[in-house]
Amino acid sequence: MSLYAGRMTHLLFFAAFVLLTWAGTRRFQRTGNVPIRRVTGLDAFEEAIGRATELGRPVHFSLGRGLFDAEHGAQTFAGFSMLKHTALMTARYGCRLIVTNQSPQAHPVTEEIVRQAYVEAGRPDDYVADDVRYLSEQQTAYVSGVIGVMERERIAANVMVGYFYAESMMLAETANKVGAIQIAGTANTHQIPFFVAACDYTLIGEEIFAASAYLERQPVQIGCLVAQDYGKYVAAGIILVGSILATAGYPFLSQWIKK
Amino acid sequence: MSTQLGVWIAALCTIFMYSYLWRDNPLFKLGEHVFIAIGAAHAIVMGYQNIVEMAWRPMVGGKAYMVLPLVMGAILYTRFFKQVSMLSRIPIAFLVGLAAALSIRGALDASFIKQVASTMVPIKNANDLITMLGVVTTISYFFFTATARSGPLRFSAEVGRWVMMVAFGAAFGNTVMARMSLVIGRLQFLFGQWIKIL
Amino acid sequence: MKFTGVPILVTMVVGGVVLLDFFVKQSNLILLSREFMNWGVIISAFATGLGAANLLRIHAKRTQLRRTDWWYSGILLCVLVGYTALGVLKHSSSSQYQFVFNHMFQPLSATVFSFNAFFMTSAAYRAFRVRTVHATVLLVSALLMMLGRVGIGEVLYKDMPGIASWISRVPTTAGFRGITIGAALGAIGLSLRVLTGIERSQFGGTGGGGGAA
Repeated sequence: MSLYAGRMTHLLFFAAFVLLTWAGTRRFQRTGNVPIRRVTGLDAFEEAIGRATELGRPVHFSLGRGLFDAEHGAQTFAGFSMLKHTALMTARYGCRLIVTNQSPQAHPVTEEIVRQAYVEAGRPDDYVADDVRYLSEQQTAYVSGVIGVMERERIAANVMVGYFYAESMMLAETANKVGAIQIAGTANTHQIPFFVAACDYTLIGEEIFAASAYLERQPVQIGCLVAQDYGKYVAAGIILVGSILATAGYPFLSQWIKK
Repeated sequence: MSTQLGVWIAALCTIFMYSYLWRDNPLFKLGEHVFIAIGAAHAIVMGYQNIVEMAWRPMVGGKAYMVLPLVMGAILYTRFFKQVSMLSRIPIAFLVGLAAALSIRGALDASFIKQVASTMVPIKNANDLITMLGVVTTISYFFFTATARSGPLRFSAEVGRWVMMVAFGAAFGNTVMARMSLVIGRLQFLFGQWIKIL
Repeated sequence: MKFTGVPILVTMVVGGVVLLDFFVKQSNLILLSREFMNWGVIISAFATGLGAANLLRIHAKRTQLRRTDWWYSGILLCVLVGYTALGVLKHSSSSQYQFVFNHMFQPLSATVFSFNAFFMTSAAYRAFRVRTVHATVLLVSALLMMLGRVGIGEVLYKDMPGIASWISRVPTTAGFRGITIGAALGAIGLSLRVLTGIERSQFGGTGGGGGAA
């Protein structure tokens, strides 16, 4: 049993991340306070769902691809967290929530999340099973289905968090056409520009992963956020120092990171 | 005009869907429902073939342990029976564990270490310097704990935001040009293969 | 209905094996990890049936209760059942199955995909009207990129293709790489919480664990 070649740095970094998460959690449990900056896109949920409630029209939620694999998995989990938050709010406000799914694997999970949120909000009878809908695994068929839902149900708010491909622009523009307020987030760099151009509020990259910590403020979530910030210090520091050393003819840091 | 049935069906499907650009209408609704049905059916057929080829055949061929994923897959359907519905969480948990581990692997390697390593290069010209500073300032935009968002880091985060906006604009502009070709492709089909005036 | 202990244990064991396999070279671990990944594909294949069951339930109810536009739901049910039967009974490589796929599914898909061109134009038009500094930077960058990619850009200014290429190579690479690094950290943090059973949204629960002092 041995370590794979080129994975030493990965292991060291991962171990450091776990330790920092633990330290951050302890710090939060001790002090009860770790100040977090505002994330406008997350603060906007109140406005979006409040508006939908006032208008008496539904909120639509999409996870995007919703797949459980290496590329999409974490973004799907981030989408689940946001769905939980959205469903709790719509349940409390008495607003209708329509969830459309592209992934059959994520579909039962979204059903469970929404049902549980309505139970937690003390309104289990308001849960409508038919409002959590699987449309299609095929991207464009899904888009055509969501266009239909948005047009015919006249949604007032559209929340999209997860991994999106080319459907991002089509969904955002249709929601815009029906006059919905939109909050969208993804870590797929190629699709963020379309959300930025077409949506009212955008969660960019890491912001979708920080959402549950920002909204729930539980110790381990905050600990993770602290570890993520330290990770960024390390990344930025290594890049700066490594580049300067490499320029001066000492590339050992850039060689070490590949070990 | 084309005399082939397939071309006519494809042309009608194209027109039905394009009719949405005018507004939501019965033709689009028809196209949408047929499309969703074909998409779902295709997914079932592919899923069925995957089950047969990846699990059933190996199992009957001697790999008895392949009964495990088959049973787990079947357990997904316990959600339709109230008394045992909670069992369906087990296969979901399997997929979740797999996805979480694969995500960590991918994020650690391709998205973190390799991206940092690719930025850590000798600075030979202004472009190298701008790229390096652009990466660092963009990273600084994502600090969440408030203490990290004061002083020079605040300035760095603002620069990072500008860098991202330039990048978003470039990606937007690039994709607009690429997507135009898709419409041209559909029009070429309608006027070339169907009506045959091109 | 709380039943989270066993699922969380399953998540931990499966995730733990696949994660350990990333770092440690051990023949049994490699075999087990690969097997788990195959099983994931098989379980996912079963899940497609769940999706179809949802479609069947919703549209059967609509048809049965004669709700608005019920007959579209009826057509959906007929096509869904018919095309599935064709694929299962005659295989997806049969000529009948391929005919439907090539002459219905493909053109429907290509047409919807091409909506992007229209939607992008309308999104760009609206974005043009937003007068914030950041939106302006985005639009100027988009315009330079578009002009650099078409002939007229070079007619207007001979270095336009060079500018577009520079934007693509330098600031775009930097911006996307910075986002990717940040998102990687977020993905590791969230996946770690899911793997250890701290984040339980997927089972209808919340995340966090422990209480603040």
